[in-house]
Amino acid sequence: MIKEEDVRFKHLEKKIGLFAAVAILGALAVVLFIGADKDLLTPKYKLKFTTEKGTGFAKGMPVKLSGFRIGRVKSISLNEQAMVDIEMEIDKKYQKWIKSDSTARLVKEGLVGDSIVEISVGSAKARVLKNGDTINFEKSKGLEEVANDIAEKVKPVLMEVKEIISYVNDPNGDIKQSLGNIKVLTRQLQDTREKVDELLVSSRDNVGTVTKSSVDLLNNTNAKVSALGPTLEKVDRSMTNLEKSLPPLLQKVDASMDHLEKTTLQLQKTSEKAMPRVPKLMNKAEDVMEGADTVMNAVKDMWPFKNHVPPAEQRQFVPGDSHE
Amino acid sequence: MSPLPSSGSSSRVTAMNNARVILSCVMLLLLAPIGSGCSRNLPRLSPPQLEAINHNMRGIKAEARGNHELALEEFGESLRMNGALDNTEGMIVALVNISRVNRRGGDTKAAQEAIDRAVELVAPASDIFPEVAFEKSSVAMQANNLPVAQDWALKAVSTAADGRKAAATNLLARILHRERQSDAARTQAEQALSLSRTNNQPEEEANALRLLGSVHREAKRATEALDAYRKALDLDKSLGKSRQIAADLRGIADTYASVGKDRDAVSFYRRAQSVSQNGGDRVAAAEDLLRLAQLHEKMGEKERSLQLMEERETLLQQAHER
Repeated sequence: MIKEEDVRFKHLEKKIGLFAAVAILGALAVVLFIGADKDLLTPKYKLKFTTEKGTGFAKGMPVKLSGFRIGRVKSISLNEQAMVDIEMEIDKKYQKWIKSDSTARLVKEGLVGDSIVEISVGSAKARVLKNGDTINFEKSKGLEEVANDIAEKVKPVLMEVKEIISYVNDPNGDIKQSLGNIKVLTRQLQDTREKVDELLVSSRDNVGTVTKSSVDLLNNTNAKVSALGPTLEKVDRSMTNLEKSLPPLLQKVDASMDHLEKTTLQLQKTSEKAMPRVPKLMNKAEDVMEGADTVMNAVKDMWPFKNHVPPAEQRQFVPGDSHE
Repeated sequence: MSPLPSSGSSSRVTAMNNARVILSCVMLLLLAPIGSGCSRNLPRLSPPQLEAINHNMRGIKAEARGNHELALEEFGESLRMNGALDNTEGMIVALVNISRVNRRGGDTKAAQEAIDRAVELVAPASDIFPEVAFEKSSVAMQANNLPVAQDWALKAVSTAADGRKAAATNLLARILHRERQSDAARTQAEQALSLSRTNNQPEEEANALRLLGSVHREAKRATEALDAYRKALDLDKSLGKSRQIAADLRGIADTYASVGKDRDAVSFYRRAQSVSQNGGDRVAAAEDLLRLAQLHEKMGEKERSLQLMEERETLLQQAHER
């Protein structure tokens, strides 16, 4: 039997196999190329943190370190405490920079840019965070909160400015009134100047009259001083009399002082003699008092006095009145 | 004429008299131990215990004479001695007395410190607990801490013996009155009035009447108020209590002023001021002068009003200098 065979189908299986192999290799190359481009094939590890609110976070959100993209937000979930757990996937090659004192922050790229998670570089001595570790999350203020803060701070200043403006504009206020007063004062100053000019002209005429009055006054003073002579003589005589009577008086005072000194000396001697006896006398008096006290206590304990002496009561209060 | 006794009979009489005296002395000596055996057998106190009690007694006497400093010194010594003897009851008594003297002297902080120490030491079942509660309540009222004052006044009322029940009830009534609980204050004051009359305690009776006067006055029952104040005044006059007399007169004046009888009010304020001033209470007298000045101003007598204000200033200055 003759077997008719087309040359094109010769080695067909081999050809198909080769074609499939090339196609598969090409597809693999494309996958590898895209994977490498999207960092899908780079080894990764996970870090997580917890925050009060999930606002601003999104799955796939970039995670950056010093401005470089090092990973992405892998998952966002609500935990049992109604807080939000955020899990990040980070390229393994950046692991050495992320330490136990590194912090994650939700920030915006620029004023109106996309939100990203920014991680700070840790200190040299701190421990490197491992797969599954928790990184510190630092809450940063959102644009709205910042704007509110500024508004709160600016509000009192604006209020004060408003008050100052209304104070300045108040027609009955100090400033408006002061300005009015200055205006009036300026006008009055001009009148005063005119009056001063008139006064200077008239004073020139009065100088002569004043000089004449001064001369009269000096003449009168001279006459009064002359009349003072006899009075001074009287004072002089009185001083002479006083000088005569003072020495005997001083002698008497001196004698009295002598007596006083002697009396004091005597008193001092008597005291010196008596003083050493005082403590002894005090001791004796104390003994006598104690003895009397003992006798009295003994008598108080004896019949029939015992029944009439109230017992020593320690529950004695200062009388307390409800009116006090 | 009776015959003169012979010398023999006279010597016999003398001998008989001597024998009687000797016999009486012998009998007395024989009966003394028996008598002492029949008398009360009280526990003997040691000299330090007696000394601590004596310090306390001397403190009470000093306070009665108005010498607060000496009183505090004596109570302090009593406290120290009782502390050295581990006598808790004696310590509590001294602390209550220290608190009372300080409270009267206006040193509320020192009073609080003392009474708080006493409260820490006293057992609720103790006989002296009511007195501690009374003082704690009084100090709290002076410090204007009315809830605490009411709490302790209630404790004092519930534990006080008959002799102190009226005082504790009056205190509770005063606190309620200051808390503006007029009805409750009136009920307690009436209860205190009844208790004081039953136990024959004119001081507390007068206090209850004065308080009822205030309650009636604030409720605009002027007739009842005046009646209560006048009864209190009669009692306080018979007891010779100057501060209380002044308070009664002031209450009457306040009542007259509240119903617009200004002339009568002036007359009673003047009397209250005179009593306070002569009794040494210059601050109360100054308060009366202020009310008088206000009344004169109201009546259009401005010059008199100014004169009274000047008088008041002088009085306050004197009080401050003292």
